[in-house]
Amino acid sequence: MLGKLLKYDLKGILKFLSIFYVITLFFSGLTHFFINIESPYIVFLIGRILSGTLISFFISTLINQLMALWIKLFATGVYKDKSYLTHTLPIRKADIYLSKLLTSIIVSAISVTVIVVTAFIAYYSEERWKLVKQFLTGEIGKTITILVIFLFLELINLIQCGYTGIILGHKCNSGKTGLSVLFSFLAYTVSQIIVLLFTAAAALISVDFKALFVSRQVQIPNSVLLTIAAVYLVIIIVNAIINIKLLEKGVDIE
Amino acid sequence: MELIEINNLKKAYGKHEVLSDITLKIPKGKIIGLLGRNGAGKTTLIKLINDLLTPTSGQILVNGAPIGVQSKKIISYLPERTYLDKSMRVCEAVKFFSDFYDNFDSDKAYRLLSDLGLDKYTKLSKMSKGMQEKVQLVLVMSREAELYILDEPLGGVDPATRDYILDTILSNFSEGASVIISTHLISDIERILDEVIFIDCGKIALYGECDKLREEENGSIDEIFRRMFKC
Repeated sequence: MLGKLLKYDLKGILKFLSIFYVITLFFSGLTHFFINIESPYIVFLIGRILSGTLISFFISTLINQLMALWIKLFATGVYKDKSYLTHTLPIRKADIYLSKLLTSIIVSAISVTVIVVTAFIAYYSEERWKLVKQFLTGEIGKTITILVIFLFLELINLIQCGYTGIILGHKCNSGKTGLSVLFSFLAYTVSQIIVLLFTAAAALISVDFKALFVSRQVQIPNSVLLTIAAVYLVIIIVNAIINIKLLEKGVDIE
Repeated sequence: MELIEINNLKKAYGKHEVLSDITLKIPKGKIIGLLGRNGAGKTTLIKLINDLLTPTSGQILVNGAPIGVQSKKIISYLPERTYLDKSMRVCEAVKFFSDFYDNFDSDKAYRLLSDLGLDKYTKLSKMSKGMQEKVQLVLVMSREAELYILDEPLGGVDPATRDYILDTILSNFSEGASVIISTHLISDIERILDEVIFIDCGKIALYGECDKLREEENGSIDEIFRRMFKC
């Protein structure tokens, strides 16, 4: 049943987000075309404007994705009209939640891939590609990979804190939307405080962690990044369990 | 064993009590009217049975077990609002139901849809609200359920459509199943009811067999209701 629900959740959200992916891809092609023509000046200028537009599309792809996941996938699917179907399907509450979480992870991975691919299309040149390859094969490549994993987990944590907020907000009898936003913010703040406390505690026994607090110019070692990424992973898992328990206690659909 | 057993059920939002101390047994094989004025608590009771609300206290048992995956397998529920994803086509909605409900009969659904003259490739977003409600009714009645719960299926529709809806319900529910129909349009459904539950101010005001009530109170169910809840 989880697989079936995941299929429908993915289909529903990608149907909506694919429009933004296509527009971003279109602009990346256009940017690539104009940015590589150096004269006349007006064409070069158009290339620069398109480049700026593309960057704003990168940001809007991420923002649209966040909004689509929070509002269209979770709030509507679990608490609004569509929830009348969701909660009457013969599926465990845990599967309903896991389907939403897995959809979020997959959709986030697709969005990040779209951004990377469109950036590659827009700014591709042989010299740049050589430079990127050099970066990716060296020690910096490793750091970039770990940083991508780190930021991805941070993104999933942010999305899930939104879900926690929506669940807690809908446990209240009134002001559900406002309280959902407030609880989301609080859940995210708590997750950041946990990471900070862990880092501070680790600084007591590790020189690398201590350097984060005492040095002005810090080159964060990969081991530190990986450890903090692991902390995020634990937070994501624990938060998922809490959210499932909260959902299993029951819902109050308007 | 009763199909549904409700014991001392209470639902409150803060200090506001919507349902209080509901105790009820729904038998198998009956068509039951859940009747009451607007805001009496009919939808709240239905939503509690369907796990869309959490009871403040009390218990609901379906075939002796608490509400859960097993109860959802045997209850076919038609809410008062449209709940299908409007970006779906009719055939996709049918596929969705057949994917999740083992007791869903796709052939029956397509037969009923074709009786309505509906193209299965039509998008739900291109349909009127009334048409979408008919599609939902078809999907709900195409399940071989043990209990059908229909919340205001006649609300806001013309008399001809009401007849169509009642005929669809009567000719399509599974043998031995029970049907709970919530409405305040009593005269329209009176002819099909075996039992009635009158609900008022969150409490059961009356529960009994229709024939017995007509005899005892010397009037139709509609008249008994009007007498009882006269403003």
